[in-house]
Amino acid sequence: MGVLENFQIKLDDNEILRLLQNKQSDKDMTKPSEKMIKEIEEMKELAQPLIKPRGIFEIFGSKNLKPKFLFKKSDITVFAICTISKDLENLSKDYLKRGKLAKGVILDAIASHAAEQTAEEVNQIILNELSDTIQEKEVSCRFSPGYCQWELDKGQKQIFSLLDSEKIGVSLSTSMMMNPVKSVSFAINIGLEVDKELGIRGCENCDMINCAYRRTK
Amino acid sequence: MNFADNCKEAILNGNIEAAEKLANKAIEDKIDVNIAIDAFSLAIRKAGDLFEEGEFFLPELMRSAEAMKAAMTIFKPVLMKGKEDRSLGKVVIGTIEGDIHDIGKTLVASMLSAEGFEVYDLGADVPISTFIDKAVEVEAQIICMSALLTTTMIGQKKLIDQLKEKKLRDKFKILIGGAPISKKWVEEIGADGSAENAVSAVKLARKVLGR
Repeated sequence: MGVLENFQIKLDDNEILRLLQNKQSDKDMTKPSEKMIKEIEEMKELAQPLIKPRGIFEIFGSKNLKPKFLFKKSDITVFAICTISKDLENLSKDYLKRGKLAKGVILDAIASHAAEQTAEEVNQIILNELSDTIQEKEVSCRFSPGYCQWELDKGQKQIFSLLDSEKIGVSLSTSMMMNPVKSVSFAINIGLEVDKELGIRGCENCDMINCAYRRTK
Repeated sequence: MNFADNCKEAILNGNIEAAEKLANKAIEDKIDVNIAIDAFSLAIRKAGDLFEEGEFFLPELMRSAEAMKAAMTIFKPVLMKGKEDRSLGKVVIGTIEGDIHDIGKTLVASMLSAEGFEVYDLGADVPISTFIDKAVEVEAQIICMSALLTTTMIGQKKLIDQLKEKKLRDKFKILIGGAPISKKWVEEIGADGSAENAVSAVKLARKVLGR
């Protein structure tokens, strides 16, 4: 089982802004005011030292994994959990509690983006470590429980029963919620003919219209 | 610029200091408190519209809510002294038990409060009985429940079922929200509506109470 820490993630202002815009608006992203950009920069400075990216992963044969429709074409599957720790989440909550709503929501968006960037980085590190195994095979995009028709409770139970999440300080509640909240669990399929777009397709057909990660209007 | 224009500018710029100064000046100048608050209310509604239209980012809307709250804090003692009740209604709000997602619910509570609702924010991971007890205790008109997971949204149904069992369902309008909530789910559990963001939640709250 691989524990990953001491790696860096990059924050993208455009992605933070995307999380802070009204997803229901038909309009393309408005040009942010200088005041907003300055405030995001200030909050990023506060946030950076509190982001502690960590991850854990393990490789499994896909043959016996369920649900079958997700894993049947895959030879091996990597399960992973990653987090940015609880510190930034706590700071955001503290701001909101004190009525500093604007700063609180910016910190929350930074934390959400940082968690996704951590998942991206962990994904990349895993693929680098497995480069010899992958060779001519195809690799799916990462996909998470709750998405791609992978039931949240079954997927989370599966991943958390197979990985020692305590090693990176992540726990799972009875309602399948990860603590710290800014954590991501995911799977990657590797095989000769895996569905490579699994995990990036589907927002258009998904009912979760308020999802923070929704990429379509 | 007249008083209303100044209020609009202060709220849309999220300028807390300017909003406080204007509220204090309104009191000093003996402007009718209802007229003064109406000017601020129009401004916060405009901020909501700008967010819905995609002109405002969420922090800009929240800064407007902060400025509105600052002004209302100054008007509150005057309203209490005059025994004036401008409340649009009482709302009990929280994230359902098993769910610790807090921020969406907090933003809805802040916007409801900024627009003039009396809000009782119970926080996150709130047991169903706590929602019901509080709503009965404060004689709320609306219960707002947030759930961010498919595993916790069932709590919204349980609350409505319990209200029915206790023959209390007709006493409250039930509004629900959260990432997995669909129109189908609203109909299935018999809620009175759902909103996709804090601004539309306020509009919905006004609508269900006819305000």
